[in-house]
Amino acid sequence: MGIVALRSLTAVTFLYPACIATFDMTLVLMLLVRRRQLAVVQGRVRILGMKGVRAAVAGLVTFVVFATPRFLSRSSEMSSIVLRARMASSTNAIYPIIFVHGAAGSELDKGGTNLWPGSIGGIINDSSAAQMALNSDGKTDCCGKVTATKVLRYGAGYDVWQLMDKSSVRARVPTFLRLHGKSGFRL
Amino acid sequence: MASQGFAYEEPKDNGKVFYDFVYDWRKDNRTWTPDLDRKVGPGLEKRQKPNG
Repeated sequence: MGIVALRSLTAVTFLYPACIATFDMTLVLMLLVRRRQLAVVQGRVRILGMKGVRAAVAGLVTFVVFATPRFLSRSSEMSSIVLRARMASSTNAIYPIIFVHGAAGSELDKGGTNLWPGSIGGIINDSSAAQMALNSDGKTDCCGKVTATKVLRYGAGYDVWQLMDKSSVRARVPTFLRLHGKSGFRL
Repeated sequence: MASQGFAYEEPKDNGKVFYDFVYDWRKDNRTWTPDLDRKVGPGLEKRQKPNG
């Protein structure tokens, strides 16, 4: 399934966004189970899943995990208003913030060549996607070691955060993401 | 984030720190959760405790 999806740009475009919520929820659940905090945040996980579905419309980004018990312990509110509150409370409490992107959120390189998001040429002839394919075991790279190098800031020459900021998705994107700014995170 | 007083990877004097979690999104998320654990653990250890 992974191979089929990655070999077709069209499939990447439509299938992966559709799976974002599932992937993200899985990641959060796994983390929380490991940290034995699942029971505390079941409601929150559900809400994060809804956000993921909305974000899938844009085919981008997802949510933020604040590594703070205050964030994890509240579970009934929704939407970016809540996340702004989380941001504020987190800022005051001085807890670290970890950004966990969704599907397709990291740049992928092979041998110093960027495969994802790749170049316009690579997108047109599908060569980048072909090199990103996995073997039939779904775990190993088919065509050489591919590594995730950094969180994606630009795609096909566009600043993805800026695009998100201009779109109707804006209201549903956490304040945190907009704080990245036009040029990504800068000290 | 910087405007909010957060530093990247290493906390400033104010204790605010921000991390990116980079992973290969093509593969099963369970592959990366140990990495995320390793990111969260030291991050929490480094944090500056709230007043009191």
